[in-house]
Order: sequence, then C-alpha cells, then structure tokens
Amino acid sequence: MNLENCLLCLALVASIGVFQSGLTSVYAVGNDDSNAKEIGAWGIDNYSDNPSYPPPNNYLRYATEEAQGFYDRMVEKGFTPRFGYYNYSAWESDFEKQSVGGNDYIYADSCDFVYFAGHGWTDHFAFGGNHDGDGAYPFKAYSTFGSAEVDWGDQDMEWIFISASHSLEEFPYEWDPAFHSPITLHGIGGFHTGPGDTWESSHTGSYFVLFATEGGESIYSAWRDATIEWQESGYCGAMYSVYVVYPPPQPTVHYRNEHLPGVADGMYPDPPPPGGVAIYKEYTKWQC
Amino acid sequence: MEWPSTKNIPNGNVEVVKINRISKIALSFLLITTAVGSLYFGFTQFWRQRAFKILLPSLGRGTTGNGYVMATLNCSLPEIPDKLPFLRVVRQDYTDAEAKSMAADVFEMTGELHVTRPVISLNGTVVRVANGTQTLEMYEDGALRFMPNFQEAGYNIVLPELSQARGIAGQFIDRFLKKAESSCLKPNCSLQIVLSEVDYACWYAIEPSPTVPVEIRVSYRVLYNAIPLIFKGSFYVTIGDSGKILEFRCYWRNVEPADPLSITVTPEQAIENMGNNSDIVGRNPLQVREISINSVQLGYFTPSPLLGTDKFLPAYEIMFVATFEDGSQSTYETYVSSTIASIPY
Repeated sequence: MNLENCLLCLALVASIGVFQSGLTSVYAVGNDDSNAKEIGAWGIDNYSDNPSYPPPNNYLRYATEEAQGFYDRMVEKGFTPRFGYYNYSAWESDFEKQSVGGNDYIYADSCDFVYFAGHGWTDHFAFGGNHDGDGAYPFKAYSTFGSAEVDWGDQDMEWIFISASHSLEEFPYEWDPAFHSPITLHGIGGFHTGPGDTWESSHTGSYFVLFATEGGESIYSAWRDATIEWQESGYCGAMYSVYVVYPPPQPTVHYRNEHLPGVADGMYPDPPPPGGVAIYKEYTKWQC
Repeated sequence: MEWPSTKNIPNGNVEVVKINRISKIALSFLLITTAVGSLYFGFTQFWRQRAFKILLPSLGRGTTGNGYVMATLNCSLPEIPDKLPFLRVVRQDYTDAEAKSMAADVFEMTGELHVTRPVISLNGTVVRVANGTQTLEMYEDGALRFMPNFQEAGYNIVLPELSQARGIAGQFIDRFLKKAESSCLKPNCSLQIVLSEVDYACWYAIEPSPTVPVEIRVSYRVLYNAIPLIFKGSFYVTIGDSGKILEFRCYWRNVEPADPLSITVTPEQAIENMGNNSDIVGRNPLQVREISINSVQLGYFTPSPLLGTDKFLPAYEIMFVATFEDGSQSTYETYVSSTIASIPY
C-alpha cells in the first residue's frame, strides 16, 4: 500500500469518527455515560455580598452542611466526587450554559447527580458572589419560560436536587427550559414550599443518599422519604421528572422510579429522541 | 308594665304603639344575648389582641428597621406545670423470627418473608421485613412503618371522600391496635391516639392539565400523659386509589418517664425567643411583615426515629402564619425548648 492510500485510509477513518461523533451529538452532545456515578454539590450559607439578602438576612445556617451531607454520603457509597463547592467557591456560572457565558459543561453538567442547597425562588437559585457570564441575571442561576440561563443534560447531568425555597412550585414552567432538548435530564427534585434551615433539615441530603442506596429505594421514594423525615410537616417536597409513553405493548417509563446506579435495576437509558413516543414531564408534590 | 314606643308614620304624626308580650321577651333575650356576647368577645379579644415583638436575626430585612417583627396571638396559651419528667427511650431489638412473626400476625403479611437490616439510620438498627409487594420497617425505639400497597401517581386515581378516608383509617387503626395489644409491638407505656387531621397529602400534574390530589393523609396525635409527642412523633395512614392503604407511619415510641425537669421557659418567652431558636420561615427569602400565632402547645420534642435519640425533652410547638412583603402568606411551625436543655432541632 503506497503512502497516498495510507493517507486516504487514515483520512477516511478520521472522517468517519468525526461524522459519527457529529451524529451522536445531535442527540446528546458529549453525553458521557462512561462513568454514570459522578457527583457534585454546591452549598451556600454566606450571602453577605448578594444585594438581594442585605443584613441581617444574609446568612443561612445549614445549607452547606446539607449539601456536604449529600456529597460525603455519595462518596462513601462509591460515587465519584467531581465538585464540592461551598460559599464563595460556588459560582452561578457553574450551572449556566455556554451561550450566556457559563461553564456548566465543565462543572454542574459534567456530573450525573447534582445537589444545590441555599437560597432561591421559583425561577432561580441564588449564590453568594456575582459570577454571571453575561451579566443578565447576576447572583442567580435563572430559568423561566422563554428565557433561561440553564440547559442541563446535554453533557452528563441526570438528576439535580435544588434545596431552595419554592424551587419547584406548582406547574414549574420556569424549569422547563432547564431540560436540554432533546431531553436527557431525567428529573429535578426540590420543594413546593420550604425547605427549612434547621439542624434537623440539614439531614435531607445525606439521608436521600442512604434511602437511595442502603434502603434500595427509587429516586422518587428516597427524595420523598428524606423530605418527610427531616423537614417540618407544613412544607411540601416536589419532583419534576420525565415520563415516556411508548407505543403498546411497551410499558411507559416514569424516570422517577429509577434507582441510583448499582441499586436494584439501576438507571433507565436516556429518553429516546422524539418521534414515535410521547415525552412528558410529570410533577408530584407531597406534604412532608 | 307596658313599654311605649314610637314610630313615624307617613303623614308626620307620631303614633304611640305598645309592644306586646312576645316582643318584650324577644327583646330581652336579644339584649341579654348581646351583653353576654360582648363580655365573651371582650374577654377573648384580650388574648386575641396580644402582640409580641419577635427578633428575627436572620429575617430582619426591613421588618421594623431593627430586626423585629410583630406577632399577634390568636389562641390561648397553655397552662404549664412547674416540672415535667423527660421521657427516656426504651430500646428493643427484634430477632428475625420475632420480626417475621409480627409481620404475619399483626400486619397479615403473607408469602415468603425476608428480613434485612439496611443501614438507613446512622444511629440505630432498622429491621425490614418484605414479601416482594409489602414492607414493614421496625425501629429500635418502637416506631413502625408499614407499606402494604404501591401506587403510581397519575390522573386515573379515584380517591374516597375525606370522611370515608377517615373511616377507612379508623378501621385500620382499630384493627392494628387490637392485634398489636398482644404483641411486643405495643409500647409498654400508656399512650393515647387522637385524630388530628384528615386532608390531601400528595398531588399530581402533567402540564397543562390541572393538579389533582392522589393521596389522603389521616393523621393522629400520640399523647403520653395527655402531652403530645410533637415534631415527628405522630401517627398517620396514607390512603390512595379506591381507598387502598398505601402507608401506615406509626411513629409512637417506647418510653418511660425519667427525672423531672423544671419548665423554665414560659409560653410568652418561647414566642418572644422563637426567632433566635431557628430560621423560622426556613429558606424563604421574602421579608416577613407580620406573624399570626394560631397555636402554642407544650409537648415532647420527638425527632425522626432515624436519629436514634435516647430522650425526648419538653418543648413548645408554635404554629403560625407569616405574612410576607408581597402579601403572600404561609403556615409554619417551629419548636422552642421549655427547659434549660436544648432540643435537637
């Protein structure tokens, strides 16, 4: 084989590789499921530089402890620690998409399971420092219908838990754009009302992990039980998750019923590309 | 005696009319009722209008400029004893055989029963009995959790009326108590079970369809010597589609009275200090305008059985409604120790 043919072969192989990666990226760019156990936790108690929380309302007491509880327990159960960022190390750009100057592809969206604990509201969760990529929504990872700084699942993220006030209020249209299209994010755990900021409530993150691993519970049951055990009964936990209806006789798939990797039947494959199936997001809230 | 009265007639003349006997009796009744009513409401207004200044260290944002928020009392305050014994938790372990026997005899679990001890509590053992479709969990401190049926939430769920749910739960509890009486599941102390609330407890939605309730929770208070186990010491039955029981969370505990503790904190002090004890509206970032207190009760602070606490201390449970800067209102509960000992909250 002469040099020209060798070059041609190499070029062909390289182009096929590039072409194939281009095809797969149509569905989920860089969706790296080679390690489905990567985790990240972000927690903020110190809001002293955030003008939305002037003194003396600028400190939470147990948010970092709660996020750290999730992180430590996941690592103990064999998950791969990627990021544990707290207070000034926790940046909003860690959650924001590249097109608004964010780095979610390096940070939050490069983890399979993400936990955030801190302040927030129906359309955002809040940070202590200003690291907004384009300056549009400083101190916030913001999402509302038609205008979102977040776009999760195009890399690795499967589940995110947002332990912030009213993070998943009824009909959370605000978080609709957070699901990358086509959908690869499986769901979001959060609160309809609450959460608390007490020593008791700080157990929510670590016990979610215990229920979902040692307890063998599904992600929905584990999140629900963690909120019921550790939050005041006046609050409501919530979950927003993907639900796929396949043509009969294939069964419908509720992603909230999946388990953490290595537990029971583990995770479900990502939702299929659109066409031939109906993909919904279902919302459940419960009294704690 | 005849009581004259007057009335204007169209032509401007005044006609003296006499009130008949029935009218007099009716008028007297009305006056007495009004007087008694005024006295009653006058007295109740006394506590209704009581106001407290509560310092909210983490929520003082623009409240009154000094971190205080006004709280109105809408309830009576409890009378408190000088001393109250704290409760010591009596632990017990269950052998696999005992666990299986209780699952079969008390909860009528059938089929092959598997016993495991999952480490879902960092501070104690949980014994789990499962038969593939039903699960019973037993904690060392006497708490129980039974899950007889699984329900996939959706729009096809038909719930019973709340009154029917109450009946279903009542029957289940009666049956459970009768069967538990002769087993080691029943705490060795005298506990009272009192119905406290029947309401929807889980809701489902797929946009843009409406949110619908899919579960009903029938809750009971557990009382020891007429004092409730507060926070996570309750007892509830969750009812789903067609009245099926989904979960029975029986968080009563096996306790014995221990040393008496002096109640050093009055209910008034508990209200005034409740803002110092914890972040009373959780992580809600909105500014609190005012607080309306609807219930103050002395109880035993009872954490989740997963915490493995060895004693339950007297504390106040304060239920209140917070009104925020945007006019929205939310109901909250908070807990304040009634002794010098701090509670794990």
